[in-house]
Amino acid sequence: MSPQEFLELFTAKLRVGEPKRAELIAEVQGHLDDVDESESAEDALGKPDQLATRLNRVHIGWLHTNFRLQLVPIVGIAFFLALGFLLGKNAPNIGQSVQASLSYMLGKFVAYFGCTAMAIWVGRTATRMHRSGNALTRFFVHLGILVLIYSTTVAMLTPPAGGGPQSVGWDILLSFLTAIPVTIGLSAVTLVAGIMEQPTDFGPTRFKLDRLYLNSFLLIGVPFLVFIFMEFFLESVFWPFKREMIDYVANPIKDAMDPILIQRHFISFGVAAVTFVLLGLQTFRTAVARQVRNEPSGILVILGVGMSVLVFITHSFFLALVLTLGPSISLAYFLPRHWLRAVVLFCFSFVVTQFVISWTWWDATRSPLLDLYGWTGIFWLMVIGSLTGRWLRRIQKYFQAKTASHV
Amino acid sequence: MLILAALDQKAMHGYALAQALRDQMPDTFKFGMGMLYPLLHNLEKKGFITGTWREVSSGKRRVYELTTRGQKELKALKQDWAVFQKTITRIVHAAAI
Repeated sequence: MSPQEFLELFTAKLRVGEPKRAELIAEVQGHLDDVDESESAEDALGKPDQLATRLNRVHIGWLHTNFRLQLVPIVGIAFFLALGFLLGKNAPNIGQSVQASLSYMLGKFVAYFGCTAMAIWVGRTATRMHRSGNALTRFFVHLGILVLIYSTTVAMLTPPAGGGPQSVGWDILLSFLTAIPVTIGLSAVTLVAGIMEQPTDFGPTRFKLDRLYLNSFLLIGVPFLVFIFMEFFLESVFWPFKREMIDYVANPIKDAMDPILIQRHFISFGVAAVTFVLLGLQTFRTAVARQVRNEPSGILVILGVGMSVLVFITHSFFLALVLTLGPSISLAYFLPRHWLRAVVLFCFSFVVTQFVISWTWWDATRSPLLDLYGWTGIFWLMVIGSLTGRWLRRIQKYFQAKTASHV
Repeated sequence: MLILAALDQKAMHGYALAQALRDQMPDTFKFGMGMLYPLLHNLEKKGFITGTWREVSSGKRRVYELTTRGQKELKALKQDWAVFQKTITRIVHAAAI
């Protein structure tokens, strides 16, 4: 392969935005200029597409973490299906509700995670390839596909009239209502981030400020990431195990909601709305901060705005999050060993989750040890707490190293 | 560690570094050159090395050099390596006896 061919292929595969992109190409070109004529470009630098891919990976940032987190609900769904049908044999109500709510569960999954995944993709395209126009076109194409897939899935899986909690038409309408605004909201912000990807130099003072914003975002944002998964898992995956759902299947006439519970619901809604605004602003600042350092901000924007939007939409578990996550993260951070963190989180989360659930809208008369709802919360908190502890340690190491290098 | 050690001797651009690594390594011990730039950028991101564009004989090249943090990292890696090497040697020699 000639140096020219090598460079062309390398350039085509490189997904890094400007100005870093030009720098990388110039560097590789310089290397190729130095290579002897007797030596091929591939011998000197390996395969061009692999080289580009490896350099792309450097710029992905926190996507790995996000990817791992997106895998968790998939595992959760498999777990849900297995458990639901196993329990269904001995508990007819649960088994029936599992089957009746399958479409609801899948709908939530596709709407939330489909939108998030697609918006991440749009964001990455915009920020890394710096082709906002293309990203916009792809966004609309994927939006259409997403809504189509979602609607078809719901229509196929929703049981006949009278067998499920909602009608097919209502499910399809909800799918549009959920998928469109979430996707537009998330993707629009990532597109803005992509457009903002211009070489900017704010100077050293602002740089420090941006770093502060970034780290603050991590500390503030991570709990909300937990919130998404708690909300998703508790509201959709374990929906059949909710008492009201089981009651609904057994007896469709639902009781009126307690006024005190409604009041508490509104309080959590208000807090969530404020958080939504603050997190949104915060995220934009962070996006700028990352652009200054030539790092793609798409994923960060997705995390921040995605979290804030979902906090706004699904505000019901905000209180559970606040009460549970802060202490859990602290414990995860300070306890030295992984298994010890898990054990402490397990015990702590169990108690707090039970308390929150009984305080918000369930009664506390059920046996906690048999409450699947509570156990689910524990599972998520263990996973997220462990990840969060590691993030915090990374930040700590970063600052330690920074201090050491100054010394 | 190899890259840090090579850059500890003198600041080099990518191609010169690749040549230096090739020259010092036996044929049986191959270093994939496709990994060189990703590793360099990763080390730079971690703050162990720093790259600046400079004019050299063959044109403008990005030259890498070790930072203070990189020197400390290299020192720590060398110490780890010494312990590792010593342990393996002891075990291997004991097994031979």
